[in-house]
Amino acid sequence: MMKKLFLYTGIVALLMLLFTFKSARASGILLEGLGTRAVTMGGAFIGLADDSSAIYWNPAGLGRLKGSEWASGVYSMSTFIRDRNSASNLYPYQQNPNKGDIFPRVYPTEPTRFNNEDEFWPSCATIPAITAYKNFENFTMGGGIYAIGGNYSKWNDSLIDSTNANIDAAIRASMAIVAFNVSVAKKVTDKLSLGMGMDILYARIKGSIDKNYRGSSDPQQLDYEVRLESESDGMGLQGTMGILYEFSPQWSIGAVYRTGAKFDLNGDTYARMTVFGPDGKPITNLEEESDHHHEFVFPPSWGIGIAYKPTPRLTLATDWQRVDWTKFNWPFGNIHYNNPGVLLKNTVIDPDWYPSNGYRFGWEYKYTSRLTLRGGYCFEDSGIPGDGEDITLISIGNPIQYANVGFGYKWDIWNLDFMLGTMWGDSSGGVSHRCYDLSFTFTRPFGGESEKLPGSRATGGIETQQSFFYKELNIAPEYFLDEGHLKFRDVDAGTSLGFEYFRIFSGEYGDWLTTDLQVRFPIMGHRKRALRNAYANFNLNFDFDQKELEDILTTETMDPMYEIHNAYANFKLNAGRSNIKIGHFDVPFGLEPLIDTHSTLLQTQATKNIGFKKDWGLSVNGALPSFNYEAAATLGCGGTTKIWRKDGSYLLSGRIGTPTSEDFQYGFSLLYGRVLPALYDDYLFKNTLNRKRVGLDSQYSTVHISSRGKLLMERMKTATC
Amino acid sequence: MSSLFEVDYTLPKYQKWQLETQIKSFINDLEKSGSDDTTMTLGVSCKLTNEITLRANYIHDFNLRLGREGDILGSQLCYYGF
Repeated sequence: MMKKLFLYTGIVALLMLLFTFKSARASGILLEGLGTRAVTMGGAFIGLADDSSAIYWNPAGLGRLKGSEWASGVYSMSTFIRDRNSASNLYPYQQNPNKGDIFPRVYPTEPTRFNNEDEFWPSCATIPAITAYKNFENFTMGGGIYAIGGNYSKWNDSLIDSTNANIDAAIRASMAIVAFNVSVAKKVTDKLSLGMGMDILYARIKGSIDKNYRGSSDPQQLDYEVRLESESDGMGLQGTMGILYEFSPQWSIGAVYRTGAKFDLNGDTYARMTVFGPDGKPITNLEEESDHHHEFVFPPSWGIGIAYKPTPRLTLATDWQRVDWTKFNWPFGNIHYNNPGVLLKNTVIDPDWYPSNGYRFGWEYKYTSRLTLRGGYCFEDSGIPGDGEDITLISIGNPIQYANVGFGYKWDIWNLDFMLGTMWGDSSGGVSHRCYDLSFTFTRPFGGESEKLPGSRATGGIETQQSFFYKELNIAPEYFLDEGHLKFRDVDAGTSLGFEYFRIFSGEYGDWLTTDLQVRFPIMGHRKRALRNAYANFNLNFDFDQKELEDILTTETMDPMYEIHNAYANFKLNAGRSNIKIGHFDVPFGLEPLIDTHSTLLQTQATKNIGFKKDWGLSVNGALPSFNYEAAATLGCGGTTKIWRKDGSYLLSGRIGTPTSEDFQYGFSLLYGRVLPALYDDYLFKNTLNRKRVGLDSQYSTVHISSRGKLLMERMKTATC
Repeated sequence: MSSLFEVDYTLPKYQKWQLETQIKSFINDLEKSGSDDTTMTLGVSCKLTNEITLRANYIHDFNLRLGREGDILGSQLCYYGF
């Protein structure tokens, strides 16, 4: 009976400790910061704060920015941790929660320490971030979504005690604190900027702890199993205030204060303890579950930074930052249950953290107009008592140091910032950490400096609309020579009336939409002959069945009431570099999208090469400084008024070529699909053709001469003849 | 295999006039002789006004698998303007 009581008491104590403290010890501290560029510079960014990450470092920096910008990136940390003592396994009365004792010892035959001393957590903190700002002359608005704290822990081990019992222990925990930020800054004078921001913080914590003891050769040492699961989340509010003063173009100084936040986290906890008899059946099973809430204090912090630009290419920066961890507590260190019980007890524990000071240094060098090199170093206290760490924690030892290097590369209007770094720390308790960090951020500026970049279509805030309405008349008779006599050719598909409505929509930053509609109304036509002509001109790798052809041609075909040629909307995105076109347009293959044959006699070989000249679908197209491109997915049956697929038709096509502004142009095209060749709305065949084509084309123009040519290869077969 | 070659020449002294030539060839079967459709077009255009263009062309086929009536003389009067 005494043995059983001892066991019971020991397990209850174990659960209390697990829940009241240790499950929370897998939570973490602040991350390195926001923005690849700023983090690469060691976080020495309070005095610089000249990109959208200023919303975190110093919102006053937004006041100096022009135009607008958005940035999106990812920070990822992989951690190697070594605890020379591994996790403890002590009697409850021996445990000190502040020293990281998680698993209590129940039987004297159990070892006092586990063996697993090393853990590697790849990508244990992988965090995306989005930030943006926009300047409105006298003030600048900014905002973003990013994580300011978060960690991950995963540890497990198995032991065999002196009675050959298996002891399995494991802990899993994750925590994330995400900020939804809104900031505003004002440039008070040419030298002074003030800024403030508000972070709506959302925290989510989830964890589990398990310990199993089984198979002892001592019949008095019963098997036992404990499990704890807990999950909670909640929101808090943090304010940020900043000031930035530029003494000169070379020197600037900034200061920031963050209020910290108090969270009221709510969730539920499940705890279970089971003791098994010699026959393996439970003799005691205690289960408790309760909703809970706890106050979690996220620490206030403040800092001062200086930035110095000795040359236009070089920037040096240094910061001092202080985080007041004295008010910090772990979420589960201050917990209240709605239904407390034997296992789930209300708890308040102070982890005895202390304020930390951080010293940060960074540099940045503009190597070329496109390439910028940068690096940084940080040395700071962790705020964690040295003996308060163990292998179940991700938190870095005291002091924390990290060194980062990286680069920024400007490609066209995009900026890519990339960083590699390492972070390390050793605690007095024999725990050492080594982290490997990777971060990258894509930045896209609008307006401001971006207006100076080649290809920018900014119009200085003038919103315009240009529209053109063309009327069209074509009279195009054809004659043929028959034994020296000129006779009227009874094939006419070109005499028509029509119109074209072309419109460009422009906004603050230039054109954003181009639309075109070409419609023709045939005046006179001889459809059967036109169809016959189309058959005759169409490429087939098998012989014509003349009778079948005649049968088709003798069926009634009506001239269409109208024909739709161009009918598309081209949405300009990314300053014309990645547009989206939808509608009826030239298939981007060979010279087709480059030559306007709408009102000319000389036509391309579109019917033979593709099956039609225009098709309904969607394309992505753009004009970049060094090349143009277009890739399209279309219906594959080219109808003018019929907007649907037929016989499983589809067409994928694309062309990449040199800019159309150059005298000598060349391009490369690919086409793949299952097409149904058509003349206007008349399909030439009953079944689709599989087409695979590759093409080369070129054009050369001078003042008086323009020449063009193309060479196309094809592999084609009928799909379902 | 298909190929196209086209040259436009604007007369320097009479810039309303343009001479055009185009050669189109489509070889339907590379392993079979005479399987090509090859034509040549000679053309001339005169821009009467900014909106009105008069064109004429002459199409000669070197080889067409299905044949045609004969060489073709085409013409076009095109109005295209606001």
